[in-house]
Formats: sequence, structure tokens, C-alpha cells
Amino acid sequence: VDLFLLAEHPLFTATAAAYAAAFVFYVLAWKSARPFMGRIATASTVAAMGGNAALIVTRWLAADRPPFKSLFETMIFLALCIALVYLVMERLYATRAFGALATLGSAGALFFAIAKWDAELVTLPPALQSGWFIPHVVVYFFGYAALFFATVVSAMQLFKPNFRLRAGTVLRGEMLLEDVSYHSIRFGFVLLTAGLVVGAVWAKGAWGDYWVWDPKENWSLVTWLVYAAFLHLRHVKGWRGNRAAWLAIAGFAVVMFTYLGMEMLPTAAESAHVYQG
Amino acid sequence: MQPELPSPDAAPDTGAAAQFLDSSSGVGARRRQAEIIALAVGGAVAVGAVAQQWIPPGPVPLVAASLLFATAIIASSLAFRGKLLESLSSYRLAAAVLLSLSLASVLGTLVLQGKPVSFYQGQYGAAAPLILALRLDDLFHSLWFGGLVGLMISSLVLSALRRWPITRRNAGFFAVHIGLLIILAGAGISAVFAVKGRIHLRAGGAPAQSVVLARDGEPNELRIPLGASVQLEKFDLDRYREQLRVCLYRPSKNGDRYELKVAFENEIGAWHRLPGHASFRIKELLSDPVAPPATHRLKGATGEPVTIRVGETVTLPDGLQVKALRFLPHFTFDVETKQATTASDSPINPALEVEIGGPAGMRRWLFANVPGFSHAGGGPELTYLFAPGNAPPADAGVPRAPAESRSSAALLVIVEQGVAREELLRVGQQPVAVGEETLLVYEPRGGDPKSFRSQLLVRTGTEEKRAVLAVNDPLSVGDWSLYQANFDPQDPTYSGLEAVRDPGVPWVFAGFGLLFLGVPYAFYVRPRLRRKED
Repeated sequence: VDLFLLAEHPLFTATAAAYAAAFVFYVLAWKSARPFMGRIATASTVAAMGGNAALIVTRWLAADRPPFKSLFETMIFLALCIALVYLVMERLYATRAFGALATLGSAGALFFAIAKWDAELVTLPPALQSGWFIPHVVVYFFGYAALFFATVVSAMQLFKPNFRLRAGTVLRGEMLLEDVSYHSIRFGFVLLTAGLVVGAVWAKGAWGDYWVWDPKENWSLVTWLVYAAFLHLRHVKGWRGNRAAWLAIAGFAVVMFTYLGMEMLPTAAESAHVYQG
Repeated sequence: MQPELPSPDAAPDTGAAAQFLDSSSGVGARRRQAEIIALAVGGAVAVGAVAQQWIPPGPVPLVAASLLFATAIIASSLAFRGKLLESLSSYRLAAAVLLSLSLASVLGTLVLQGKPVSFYQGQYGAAAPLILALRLDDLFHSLWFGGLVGLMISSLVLSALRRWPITRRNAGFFAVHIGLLIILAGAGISAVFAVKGRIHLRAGGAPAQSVVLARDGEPNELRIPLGASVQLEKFDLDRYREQLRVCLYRPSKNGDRYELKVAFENEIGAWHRLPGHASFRIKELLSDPVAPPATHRLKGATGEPVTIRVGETVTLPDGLQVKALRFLPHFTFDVETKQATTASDSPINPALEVEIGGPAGMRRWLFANVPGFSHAGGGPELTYLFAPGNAPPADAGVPRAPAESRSSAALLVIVEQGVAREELLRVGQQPVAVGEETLLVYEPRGGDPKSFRSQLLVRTGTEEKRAVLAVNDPLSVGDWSLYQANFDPQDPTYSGLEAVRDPGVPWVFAGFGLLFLGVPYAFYVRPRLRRKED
């Protein structure tokens, strides 16, 4: 990892540090009996999101295009989406119990971005110069963030079943972790559907085909199919509880492979010609 | 005959976690259901895999197999009802089909699709016959995949029949599931009836009246009429500005090559951190012109190369008469002025503009970096051999890019372990090493295609219209849609169009619309209606 790069990017460093600090505060809030620690954690998250949003805006201005082109840029956007989805959930369910893992996700995305640092501002090829570009990316990444949140909740359901929730991290009423993750997957699935549909309509306009069995298309279909199966299995006896949690985690593994694993596929090199121009 | 099944929606709702389980609740009943589902999925795959040993692959057998299989399942479910209908319209079957389809899709990305037989024999050896028999080489047209799609269709139809009629409450369910059926129907129509091909055009060339069907592995190109004539009046290729930048390279992880880590902004005086407690700043950007060579050398199809000066006309050994018009050491295409220009004085992309065959002949650019390039339009073979000149710098009347990007050397101040030194970094020259593993290079970055568009003259019958075709901006000509597909970086007159006639598209898009609206309706509107009504 080329840490020397960070010297010229103090805002990036500060944002990553704020997410990392939020993670520490959320962990401390697990053990704390007073709400103070939890509030500090939320404040750190909000501060980190401010920095994160500023990173995106400055990049947008510098590149003179939406900063969703490279893996590096989308990682920075994913960090913001994860944090934003989490904060909404924190208010919705009135709990900070999931904050540690969520901010760990945002911080992790930024640390991964350091490894994938862009050497230069790349330009937008003609195929990406489309009105569909922003909705396609935004919808998918908020979807990914919602599915990440569901994974966090599922992980807590599996590994912390007797979790004692202190004053710092109140869980409202008798809300089951499983229902929280289900609601989040449902939301993510709506966005995955929108992203897939928008992607296919865009592909038709750009290349003349709404579907060409390209590996990236295939894998985004696979994520959709896996979560569709999850939503159907909720109605099947024996597929709630831990099994559902494992399936949610497996589904997110597929999401991550779709996002990051394409270059491992033998078919990836063949895919490039599809996206020529 | 079993009694009509109760609608799954009639089951009681248990609060936020709305659950209506499949009605088979006993352990034995559930096992029987699992067996039926396993049989259906396994049967679909097995029947397809066996049938495809005799039936050649293709879109028609695929669609026919899916429909036949779906019809058989639906008919037998409705005839026997009971456990069979319940199982084949169940959530469990739906999940099993969805997961099977996802596994098939994954498999389709692990095995390269549509390669010649020899490829699989080389890649998989003894397993190749099995891969070919299972049609893993063209998985999405295999009949076992068709069987799974058939099972998906029957599952969609049967589950919809169980919930019929459409109500406000289940409208989301119907929108999604009918939407998926319409998408599959549209995909079937596309697979069977869609026609797709290429139109190759040249600016100022003859109009095209047919579409070239590109089928892999078929040597003879098949042409079908377009029903109109399309002529390329002008082709525009704009590139992003190319700029010289100080670039930092480091060895890659496995050390087999150097990787670009940073391309620094050309900001004078700003300090940049380097690995290993070193740093640098650009002190000055210098114009460090390399003299344009006094003479150039051209080689025809046969014979020895011939020396030529700009402005001179020579006759090559193969009889070709060539006049050298102008020389650009670092050829680039200026986006604003739409003129060929030089980005620097360094011979990075030496280009010579020539006129062939007298004053009325064709003009074209020859690139020394692309030797032996034969004009795709059928022009004579001509190679430009570049050798750097040694004459003193002279302004040869070459059009120039802005001064900043023309500077072909950067004077750096590098501080390493507290010691400062100056280094001159020249374009196309040796890099400067900082520490053990860091290299600084001054090189052109950017210049990728920004946009390309065809100005077309379209004649349909007696009607004539002009239209601009660009990426993401297709054009309708009769029942064809034309797409700007590609360009040839070596031939600025060439434009490649994709022509598609696909009657499935309206169906697929209608299905998309239903899916797009149905999913949020089912998840967010339906629970509210349910709460209100309860």
C-alpha cells in the first residue's frame, strides 16, 4: 500500500480516520451504560460523511464528470452510501448496535481505495456519457449499502445472539434482528431491480442489445436471483432464523464478487470488447 | 380430483414479519414436496441435456424447449392438482429454480462461451467431450438451460393462477410475475426474430444499402437489405486533450513490470511526496525542442526506401508518385480547432502528411509508429520510416498546441535524504530514479476518445434526411435501429455502425416497467393496504 500518496490528500485521510474513530466509539458504546458514547459515535459518523461528501464533490469538479468511473471512485462513493444507509437505520430502529460494523464497512471501503488509488483522473468514454450513468450507479450503490447493512445485522444475529443492549445502544421494542435484515434486503432488492432494469435499458441505447450475457451482467443477474430466492424462502418453513442469516451473508458475498471479482473470471477479457467505445 | 387450493394470501399475517408459509406443514408432506421439486428441477436439466444430443442448438430449439416444458408442467399440474400443483407453484420451487438459474449463470462465466471445439479440447483435455455434450460452451442456448427457463415459466404461471384474480392487495405480485413472463416472452421473440449486423461506412464513400450479418465462424458474410440507403457525409472523432505529465512508476506486486502510481499535475513549485522520505517539485517546464528531421524516408509496396523532403514530390520504385505535405513530430488531433497539430516538439508520434498520385489524388497521414499500415480503403501500401534529425531547431511552420502542453522537458528539484538536486526530465528519454524503486518519467497522458459521431444522409424511397448518429444516441431507419459502434484509430474516415431489428424489445421493456413498479408496490404499498384493511 502506497501510504506516501496520502500526504497530498489530507481530506481523504481525515475522512478515513473519522470513520475509524466512529467505529471505536460505537464499539465502546456497546459496553457503555450512558448514551454519551453513542452520541459521540454518531457525531463522528456525520463528520466522516461530511468529509466523504466533500471528497466526492471535489473529485466531481476536478474531473468534470460524475466520480463513479473507476474502482477507486466508486469505493469512496460506497463508503458514503454505507454510512448514509446506516444512519437512516439508526434513526429508524433507534439503535446504535449496528454502528460499529457499519462504520467498519465505510472505513474498510476507504482503506481498500488506498490500495486501488487512481494514478490520474481518467476520462469518461463515450458509452458512459449518458443520462443513465448517474441513476444506474447511484441506485446500485445504495442497494449494495442496504444489502451490506442486512449482512451486518445477520452477522450480529449469528454471532451475538444473546447480545445485551446497553443504554448507549438501545434497540427499540421487540424488533427481531431477522426482521431488520429482511427490511433492509427488501429495500436493497428494490434498488437491485431498478439498477438491473436501468442497466439493460441503457445497454440497449448504447450498444443495441439489452442483454448480451456479459460476465458483469450475468453476475448482477446472479445477485438478483439469489436475493429473489432469499425473499421466496422467507415463506418456506425452516428457512428463517440462522439459515436466513447465512443466506443473507452468502448473498452479499455474491454482491462483492460482482463488484470486485470480475477480473478473476476467464471470461472477463472477452467482456472488454462489449464495452468498447 | 383434489379441492381447489386456498390462496396463499388468505393465510393470516403475523405482523411486520408477514409470513404465509407453504401449506405443507407436516414433516412427511414437506419431504414429499422436496422430492417433487428435486424431481422437477433435476428432470428439467436431465431431459434438456439428453434431448440436446439429437437437437442442434439454436434460439428456436431453446424457445421451443422452454415452452414445451412449461406447457407440460402446467398441464400435468392442473390435471393432477393436489400435491403436484401445490409443489410446482410453491415458494420452495421458485427458490430452487432461482438458485438453479443463478448457478447456471455462474457456470456461464466460468467457461468461455462460443469458442471453437479445439479451444475446449486444449483447455480441458479429457473433460472436453463432457463440456461439449452438456453444451457448457454455449450454455445459454443449451436445452437444459431451456428446461430451467421452462420451469421458471411454469412456476410463474402456476403461482399466478393460485392467486387469481388480481386485487389491490396482490397487484404488486401480479405486476412482478406477469412482468417477468412478458420479459421472458420478449426475450424469446428477440432470440428467434432479432437480426443484428454491421454497416461499414467511409466518409465520402458509397452509400450502404444492406446490413452485414456477423456470425461467428462463418466465413461468408451474409447481407440483408436495410430498406434504405445510408451514406456517411462526415465522421467526427474527438479526443480528450493530451498533456505531458511527470509520472511516478513503481514496481508491480510481483515485480515483473513498472506500474503508473501517480501522474502529477503540471503545477510549478508545488512539492510532492515520494516514497522513502523523498520529495520533488517542478521548477520549470521547458520547451526542449528536438529538431525536425530535414529528410524523411518512405517505403512503397516493393523496392528500397526513398528519401523525401517536405514540399518535395518523389516517385517510388513501385511507380507511386508521392508528395510530402507536412510533418508533425507529436501528432494529435486538436478537439477545439478540429485540426491535426503537434502536442510537443518531441518525436513521440511522428506523422507525415502525403498526397498520393498527383494533385487530384488522395491525402493521408502516415504514422511512423504504425509501420506498414495498409489503408483499409484499399489505397496503396506506403510505410513512413522515421529517423530523428540532427539539424538545429527551426520553426518549420508547424501548427502548435498550447505552450504548456508543448513543453517537452520538466526541470525538477528532487530532495532525497535531505539532499536537493536538479534533474531534467525529457519526453521520450531515460527516466530519473529516486531511491531504489521509484522512477519519474515525463510522458503524454490522456488523449482517449471523447466522442465519435457519424453525419449521415439517409434515403428512404424518395425521402431524404440528414441525421447525426452518436454513441448513446441511436437512430431509427424503418424498422431498424442504428447504433454508433466503433471507429478505426488508424482510419479517420471509417465509421462502424451496429444495425439491430428486434421485435422483442417493446415486450421486454414493458415487462421491465411492470417489474420496476411491481417490486416496490409488493414491498411497500401492499403491507400498508393490508394494515389499513385489517
